[in-house]
This record gives sequence, C-alpha cells and structure tokens, in this order.
Amino acid sequence: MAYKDGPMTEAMYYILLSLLRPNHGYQLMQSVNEVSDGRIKMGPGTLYGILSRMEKNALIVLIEKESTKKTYKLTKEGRKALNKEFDRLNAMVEDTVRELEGGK
Amino acid sequence: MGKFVYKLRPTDYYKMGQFESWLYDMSAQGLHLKKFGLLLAKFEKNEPEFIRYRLDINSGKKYLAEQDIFYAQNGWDLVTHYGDFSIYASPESEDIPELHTDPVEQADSLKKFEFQQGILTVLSLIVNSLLAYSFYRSWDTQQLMDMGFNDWSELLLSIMLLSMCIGFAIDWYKLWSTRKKLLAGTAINHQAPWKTAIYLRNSYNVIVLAIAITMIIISILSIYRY
Repeated sequence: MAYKDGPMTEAMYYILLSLLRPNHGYQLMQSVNEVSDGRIKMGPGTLYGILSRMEKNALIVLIEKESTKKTYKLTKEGRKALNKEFDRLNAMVEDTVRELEGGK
Repeated sequence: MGKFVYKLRPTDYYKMGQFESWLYDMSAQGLHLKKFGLLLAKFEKNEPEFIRYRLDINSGKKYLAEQDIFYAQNGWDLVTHYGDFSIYASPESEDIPELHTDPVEQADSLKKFEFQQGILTVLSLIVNSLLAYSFYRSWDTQQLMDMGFNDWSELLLSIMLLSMCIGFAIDWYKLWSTRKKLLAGTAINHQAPWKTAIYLRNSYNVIVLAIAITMIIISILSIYRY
C-alpha cells in the first residue's frame, strides 16, 4: 500500500526494520526471515514490489548498484515512519496488556 | 525439442487463480507454456512435470529486466511477457518461496488496472447508451423488413459494441472482487477450478470474433455492391 502515515503492512514493517543496516535483495529476504525469528518467509514478488514503492516514497534510498545487486538503506523519512509504526504497535500492546490485566 | 501445441488462451487475466491453475494442469499433462499470442497460447509437448506458474504485474518497462533477473535469482524464471503482465514459473519445491507472500501488498499492484478497467467500462457504457438512444429515435418496424447490407453491418457493429461493453464490465467486476479478497488477506487460490469458467469465456470470445468477422465481410460486400 502507498504509505500515507497510516498502519503499515507486516511485510513493509519488516523490510524497514531489516534495512536499519544497508542490505540488498536476496540477503534482505534472509534478513527479514531472521529478524522475524523465522515467522516471515518473504517472496521475491512481494519484496520487489515493496522496495520499488518505498524507493518512490523516499523511505529508502539506493546506495550502491553492482551489476544486478542493489543495496538500499533507510532514509530519515524511513526511520521516522518506522519509529511511528513502532509507537503505534507499542501503544496497541500496552492497551491490550492493560485491558487483560484489568479484566483479571 | 518437443512438438508445439496451440490452445485458445484464456483472456480472464484477473481471475489469476484460474489462469495459474490452468497452466499448472497443462504442465502436469506435459504441455509447458512457451508464449502467448493474440488468441492462442503456445505450449511445448514434453515430459509431464509439476510446474507452478504465477501471473505478475510488470513494474514498468524501465525496471522489467531487473524484475526478471531478481525473480530468476530467487527461483522464478520468466516464461513470457504480454501487455502489462508477465508469467513466471518455478518447479514445485519447498525451497522456493511463493512469489507473493502478502495478499494486501499484491492487491496494491492491481489498483491501477481496476481504475483503468473502470474508465473503459464507463466509456463503453456511454457509447452504447448513445447508440441505443439513436436506435430508439429512428426505430421503424418497416426497417427490419427492408434491411440492406449497410443496416446489417450497423446492427452487427452495435451487437459487437454491446458485447464488448459486457466483457469490460465482467472484467471490472472480477478485478474488483479479486482485489477485495486480497485486501481482506485471502491469498489467491493457485489451484482454483478453471474448466467451466475458461470454456465459457473462450466460447464468448469466439462468438464476438465471429460477429466481428461477419461484420467485416458484410462491409466489404456492400462496398463492392455499390
């Protein structure tokens, strides 16, 4: 989905998270798998679509192109979006914990 | 190299699951897709194999070669491009992940086509409404008795335009429902039953084509006659 400060898809969030360190295509797929503790196995179509869109939205930037290997890193905007999404998810978890504990 | 077999190809691109399921069943019969033409799909007859085929939206001409290389590096080889779509294939194996693993993200790639198809349908509806209105204004029962070559040609043109409009509307609806399911998190069913839907659509296409050819023949005959 085009990013307009709203909730991110899980795939988009994990790609941004994995790009805290500069990374490229295939390695990025492995990295998403590791960062999500093996929970997310991302397909190349999903990854390619999100990378293209995030580059257009200036959330990531291409820092190196070696033959077909493209290395990306987060931009300031990307970092801001990641932090914002983290705060949103955190607030949801806190709300849930509070409600569950209050319900005991 | 095996011999080549040609089959009428489905035109319901937006029923992606049916399309992919049809190609999978063909490969299980030893028919491996090589190319798409205007009306026919070209297959190479070889040993039966279980090949997964996936329909994908192109990421623009500029990046298409890059997309093909990236997919190939990850186990999905390009079979053919046609229009805004590409078809990739991969042997059935657990080591090769699905091409698309996030339905919501995949829905986004179809957004542009839903809009285009909507515009096409609305324009086609306007043209057909204007034609219907002019037909109604000039309606005369005697006309049917005295129909000449030109009148037949006009009538067939109207029928063809109407059937095209119905086709556009059906495609729009299918695209809309596919996107809706994807947005709800339901992944495409790559094993969707295809026989009835594909045979029906192909029969419809053949009828529209027959009308178009008849219309052309009548027009040519009327030119020679006068």
